Amino acid sequence: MATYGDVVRQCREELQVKDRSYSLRQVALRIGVQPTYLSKIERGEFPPPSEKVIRQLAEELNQDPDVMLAMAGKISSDLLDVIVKRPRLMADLIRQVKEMPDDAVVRIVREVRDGDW
Amino acid sequence: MLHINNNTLKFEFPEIHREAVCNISLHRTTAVARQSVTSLVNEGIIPLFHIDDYSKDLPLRLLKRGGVIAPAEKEQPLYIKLSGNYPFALKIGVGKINAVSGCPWSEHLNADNQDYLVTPPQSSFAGYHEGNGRFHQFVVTALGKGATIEEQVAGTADIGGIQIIAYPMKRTAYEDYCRNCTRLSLASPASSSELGIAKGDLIAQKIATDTYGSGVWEMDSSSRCFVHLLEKSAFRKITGRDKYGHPAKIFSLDRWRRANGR
Repeated sequence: MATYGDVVRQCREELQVKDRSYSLRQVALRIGVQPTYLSKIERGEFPPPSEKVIRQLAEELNQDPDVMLAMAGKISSDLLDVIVKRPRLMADLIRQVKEMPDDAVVRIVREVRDGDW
Repeated sequence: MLHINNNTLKFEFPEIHREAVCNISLHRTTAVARQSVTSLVNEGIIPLFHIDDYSKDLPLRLLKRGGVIAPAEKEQPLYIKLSGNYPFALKIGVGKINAVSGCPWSEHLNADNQDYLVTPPQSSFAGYHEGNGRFHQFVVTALGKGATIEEQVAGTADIGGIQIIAYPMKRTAYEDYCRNCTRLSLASPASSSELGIAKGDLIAQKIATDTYGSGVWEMDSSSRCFVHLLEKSAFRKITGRDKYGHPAKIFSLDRWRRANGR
C-alpha cells in the first residue's frame, strides 16, 4: 500500500513532467519547508508533517486535503471540532453511515440551496 | 448537486457520471499588475457558509437568491480556483455581468464567442475580460458606490457577488474523451455590507479554448450558485464567526483610479 510520502512524490513527479516548477526544491520553497525535509517525507524517512503543511502540499499538488490527511493518519482539525462539539450525535452518525455505499452517503450531504437571481 | 466541502463549492453530478465533480474555491491574493495569473500568490481560501444558516439576520432580497455567503474585505484582490478531472463548462458572473465575455448575464453557453471557462485545462480565473484580451484583476469593492463592474457595465447596483453555473460534459462525450487522452491520477438599495467586484489592474489571463466542442456539454443538467460577498465586519456580526484569516496585502483602488485617470 502506498504511503503518504509515496503519494506526495508520485503526484509531484507527475506534475513535474509537464511543469518544471514542481521540482522538489521549488515545491518545498513554495510551501515554506526545507527541500531536505520534503525529500525525507517523500522517502518515508520522516513521519508525515503537520496538518498545516499537509494542507499546503495538497493544495500545491491539486489533491483533496482530507484524502491527504487521511493518508497521513490524521483527521482535519475542523472535523475534530465538529465531533467535539456534538460527540454523541456525530459518533452515532459516523457509525450509522460507515457501511453505506458512497452514493447513499452523497444523498445525505447538505446541498446549497439555489434561489431566484 | 452542490455542497460545500472544505470551504470549496463541490458541484457533483452522480446521475451523469460518478467522476463528474468540479471544485471551485475563492482565494485572496495580492495585486499582480500586468503579470501572469500563474504568479498569483494564494493568501488563503475564503470561507463559505450556507446563507440559510443566517436567515434571521439577512435581508429577504439576499435570502431569495439562495447560495452561500463569503466574508471579504474592500479592495481585496481575489481569484477563483478550479479543480477536478471531469470536464466542465463554467459560466462566471460578477454582479450578473459575464466575467469571461464582459456581456450581460445569460445562462446558455455561447460557443461562437466563447463566454465560458472550460476546466480542465483552465485551473484558475483571476480577472474580468473587458474585451480585446484585456483582463482586469478581480478586486472586491463596495456595491452601490459606482466602482463595481456591474455598475459600470449595467448601470445598476442590484446584484453584487459572484455567480457560477456549472455544466458537466455528457457521459458519452466523457467516455470518448477518456479513450482519447491520458489524465493525471490525480431591488432595494444595496446595503453597505454587500460587496461586488471591481476592475483592478490589467493582468495576463488566458481563457482556455473549448477544444471539446460545444455539443459535449450536458445543457439539461446544470447547477448554479450565488456567492454573496459580505463586508467582513457585517459578516462577523451576522455569523458570530471571527475565523477569517489575516488580511492580505491590500490593493489600492484609489491608486488604480489615479493611474487610470478616473
